Amino acid sequence: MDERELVERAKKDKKYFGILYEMYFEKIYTYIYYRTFNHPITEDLTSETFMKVLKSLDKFKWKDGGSFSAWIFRIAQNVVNDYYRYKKDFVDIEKISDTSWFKNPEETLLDKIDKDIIKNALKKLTKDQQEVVILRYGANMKFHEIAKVKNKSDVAVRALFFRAMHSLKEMLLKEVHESE
Amino acid sequence: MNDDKLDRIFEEAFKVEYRKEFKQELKDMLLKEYDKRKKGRFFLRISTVVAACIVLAVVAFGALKLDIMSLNVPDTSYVENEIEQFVRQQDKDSKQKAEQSSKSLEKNSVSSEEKSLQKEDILEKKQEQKPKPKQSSKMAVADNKQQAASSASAEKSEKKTEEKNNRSLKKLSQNTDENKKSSNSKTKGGIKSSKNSSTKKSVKSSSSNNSKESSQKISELNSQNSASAMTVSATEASKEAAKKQFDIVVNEPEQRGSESVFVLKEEDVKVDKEYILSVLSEIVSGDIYEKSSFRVQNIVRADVYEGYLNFEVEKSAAEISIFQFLQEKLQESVVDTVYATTELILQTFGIKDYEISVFSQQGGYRAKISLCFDGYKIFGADSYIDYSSGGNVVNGKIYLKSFSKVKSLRIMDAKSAAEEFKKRYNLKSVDPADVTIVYKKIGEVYMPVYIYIYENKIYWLEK
Repeated sequence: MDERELVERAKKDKKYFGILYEMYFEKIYTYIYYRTFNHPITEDLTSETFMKVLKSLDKFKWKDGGSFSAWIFRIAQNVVNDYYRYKKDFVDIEKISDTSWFKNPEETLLDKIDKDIIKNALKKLTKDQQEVVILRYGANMKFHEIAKVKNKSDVAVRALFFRAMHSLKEMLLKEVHESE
Repeated sequence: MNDDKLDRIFEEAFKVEYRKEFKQELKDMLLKEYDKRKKGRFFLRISTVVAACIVLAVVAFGALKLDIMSLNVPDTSYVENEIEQFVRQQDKDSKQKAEQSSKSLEKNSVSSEEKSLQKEDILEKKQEQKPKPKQSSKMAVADNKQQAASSASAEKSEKKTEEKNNRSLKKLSQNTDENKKSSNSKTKGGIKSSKNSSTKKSVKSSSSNNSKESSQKISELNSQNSASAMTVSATEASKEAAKKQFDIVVNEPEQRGSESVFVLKEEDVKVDKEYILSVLSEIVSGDIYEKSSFRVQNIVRADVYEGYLNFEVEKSAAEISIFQFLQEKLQESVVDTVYATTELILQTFGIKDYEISVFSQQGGYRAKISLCFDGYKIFGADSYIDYSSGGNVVNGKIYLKSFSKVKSLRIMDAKSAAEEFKKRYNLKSVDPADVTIVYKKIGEVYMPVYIYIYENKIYWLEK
């Protein structure tokens, strides 16, 4: 069953809606997490995103070149943007480090090393570059899907991503050298 | 550090741990919400349908009530279907008859003697059928012509009658089958074809003032005219039959306490002035004088204004002297001629449903014409043709419109209408037999309306 058929069935049958949820939950959660770096906020925003998906699912129509994943990520993006609009400022990544809230201390320590390096590198990127990297690695999205979410061309997204990666690579090497 | 390694690091690094319970909780909550929304949508649909039904019922009730108030109950398709079937059947029959008539006409053209025998035979038959006024009036055309031809000498006519009877008997014994075919197979198509052929000639006669040419053509037309008079009477039988058949259809709902009628619309009859002139010339030229070998040159003036055809016939001085001679004619036969000529004129213009009443007036007669549809008079479309004392067309005014059905209607029966008249106008007694339906022009259409005429007053039963 392809995605289109699945979405059409999900409109009429909750069983298929459950399947869609399973498919997208982790991706959406990861995307929101890397935009907020806060699990409780991520849980709230994920719930809000899926509620909006449920309410708007009947209105979703397949257009030429349309994609359900682009549609669902645009909802998530809007939810996060609304959240920041409400908060009036962009959350400082460094200040939000709550990865310990559901793990044991040992794991947290190991995890924190890698995550901290990533976080430090990410925070130096522009907002657009951060989003592209998060969608690429956090949500495992392909470039053409990211292009739809960001409303940019495929080439523009690729260029944005490679510039971000070049910067990240340099920053990570520097971090590794410094830590050594 | 190469790109692959960096990719792997990032893929690993971006893996986010989430609470499994949260995922399940959120799923359960979403599925509950899904059910709730589905139920909500179902109830919304049901309530929409119920609301639509209520609105429809209210509208239907309102429409029904309004229609009852205005005496017009929307008809079922029953009558319409019956009429459609009837019309289709009629078309089919007329086509078959037209084919048969064309065949029989070919046969009939074998010899002129045989043809004249047939004509006389038909005339005889018509004389036998005289009791009906309409039929007798048509017969009178041919009859008058015959009488005029024989009026010169009574002895001559007696001999001719004897001769005719003998010939008819002879002919009947010889050609009974053939005659039956030929007389029965005369149809409307037959009339048209004969009239069309004569029309071309008559146009010439009316347009040119050359007396020699026109007088020759007049005599030609006259002979054709007598032929068309016969075909008209032959058509009468089929018309009567059709009327009877139609009555059966229309009377059906009457038994159920209502009458089925129609809303009508009118259309101009597509006849041009030249055609009118030619037809009238043909008819007024074919008068009885021709038989007495007098030559009369008639000039017809006609115009169409606001749907009415107004025409006038100017006769030459020659006729005036003959007119004196015709005073001796029996009045009865003149009235018959008036009926017959009026019918002929109306039918030639394609007017099929009408009522004619002849009144004597100063210097002649007036044939009052009421146009009808399915036997019901059309109010306000009255027409007339004035005749001289000798039964010749003088002038006339004819409403040249054709009427067709727009919608079928079932209205209350005459009894209920009589009751309604009593109530509405505080009348003591209204005889349902005096209550009639007429078509009255309301806006662009003609609506069936009950009228009751009492003590020179017309009472209307409208909305």
